[in-house]
Amino acid sequence: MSCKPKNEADCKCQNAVMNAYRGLLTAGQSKEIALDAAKIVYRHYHPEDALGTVNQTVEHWVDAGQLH
Amino acid sequence: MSSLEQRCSEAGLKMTGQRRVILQILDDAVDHPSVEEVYERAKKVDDSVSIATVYRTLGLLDELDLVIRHEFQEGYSRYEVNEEHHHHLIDLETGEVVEFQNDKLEKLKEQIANELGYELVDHRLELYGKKLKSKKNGSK
Repeated sequence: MSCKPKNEADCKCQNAVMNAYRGLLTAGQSKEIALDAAKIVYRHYHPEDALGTVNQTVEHWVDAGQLH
Repeated sequence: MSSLEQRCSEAGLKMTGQRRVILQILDDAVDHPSVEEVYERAKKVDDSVSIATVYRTLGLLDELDLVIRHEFQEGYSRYEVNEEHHHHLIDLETGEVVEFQNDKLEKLKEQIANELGYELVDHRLELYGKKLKSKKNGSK
């Protein structure tokens, strides 16, 4: 299963991914480190996803969160 | 909230708009700004910030040990945020970020670098984990 845009709202991983990203930024880490960590959290939920899918999904969520 | 602002709140420092601006300037600084430099940068964000406010705020932060005051023999002080060295553990289930410090780990990092013939200059370490399931009372 891959966390595609149509079921993003239902996916339990999105909160965890965004919590990790925001938490690390708040803790003073760089956006690059926070993004890497967010992708690791995503892969915990979706280990079957290709790297490209992981990058695309997490970066899309981060962009949508307007945290840059 | 910036990480410095959070630490100030935890130390009981009353937060005002002007103080927030000064804290953000310090948090963002990659150099060691002087009082004048902090003032110049803060004014660009909020022109109501006075140099007296900058002096007072830096003095308070110094007292609380939240900034380090450097004397570079220039006739004035320069400041940097006194970063508490810590690491992060990320909860894979929730994304919660847990900060921790560990003296053994600090020594081990130095030791590993030294044994490989290096002086440790910098490092990056994050731990990822899942919460252990607590044992029920009476169960083996």
